[in-house]
Amino acid sequence: MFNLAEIKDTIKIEPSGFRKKKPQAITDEINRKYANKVLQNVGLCIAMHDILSASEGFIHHGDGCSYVTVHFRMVIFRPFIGEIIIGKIRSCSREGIRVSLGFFDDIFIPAGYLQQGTEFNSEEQVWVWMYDENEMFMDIDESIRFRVESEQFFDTSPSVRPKKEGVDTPDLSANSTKQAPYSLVCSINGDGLGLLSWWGV
Amino acid sequence: MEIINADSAMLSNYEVLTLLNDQKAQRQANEVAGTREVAENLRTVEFEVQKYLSASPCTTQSPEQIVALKKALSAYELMKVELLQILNLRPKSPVELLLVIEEFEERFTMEDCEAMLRIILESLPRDDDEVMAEAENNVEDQEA
Repeated sequence: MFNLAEIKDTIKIEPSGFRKKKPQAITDEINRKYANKVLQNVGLCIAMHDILSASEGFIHHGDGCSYVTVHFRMVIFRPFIGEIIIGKIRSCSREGIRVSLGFFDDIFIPAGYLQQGTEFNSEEQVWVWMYDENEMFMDIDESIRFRVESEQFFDTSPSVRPKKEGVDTPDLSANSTKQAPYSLVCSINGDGLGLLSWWGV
Repeated sequence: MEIINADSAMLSNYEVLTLLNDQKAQRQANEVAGTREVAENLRTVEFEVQKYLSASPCTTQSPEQIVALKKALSAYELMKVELLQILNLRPKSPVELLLVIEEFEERFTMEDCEAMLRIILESLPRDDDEVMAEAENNVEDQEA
């Protein structure tokens, strides 16, 4: 679920940070810059793990900040393909089920990846697994165990976002696609997968 | 920014929770001195990850337990990711164990499965197991 990524970056320490000890100032700046952000093809950054090396601080002309090149390791959330994770159902729709881990919400189980014989109950807006004539409802907030099938990174930086065809308005929000930068597609079609209560634990 | 290695090592849930707890404790110690302010994004992700992990089996684990588990399971040729999943999810029933081990039927027997579950239960003890066992005993007593 979690792993470590080695990153090298130039960190800017503002003069107000000079009263801190150097490692502390670097740690604070790295966390401020990276925590809770998605790095393309790396994953979701959680917190800095440790500093491997740091250069001397440089002060540029016309700027009082100290620039330090730091080689550090970051704790990253990036489950491997095939990993089993437990989360909570956030919402159900005809397309599938959205699952949340609390700190990460972009998990989707498409309708085709549900247990065989699962039907959508449009009155209650939930998925129901018909098993041996038992109706097993998949209510919101239930704990669910699932397998990671694929991951997708989407570069949300403004410069590379493709324009929607035929849309040319000055309203920037209309052009945005609102796609998550990092999302997981998961499945629950297998023994032991699905709601925890189904399997007696 | 330069990514040198996007995946240099895997971390268990226990390691992540310990890191976050230590980091927070250290910060709070410094906050008393009134010299630190914390970035909002770090506070958010830290809180949410701690909340998620606090509800998982890793809360009662310790380095000694993890070493003991690894040693006890070394007789079975498990892959690193399989061990990691066992540690993170702490399977209690055969169906859960089979889920995290690839091609279980071809590599192991059902006796192995039971032995592994026993090792997991003994190496990573948790209080709620006893509560559950007691509840079962009570039910049995009543039935008798």
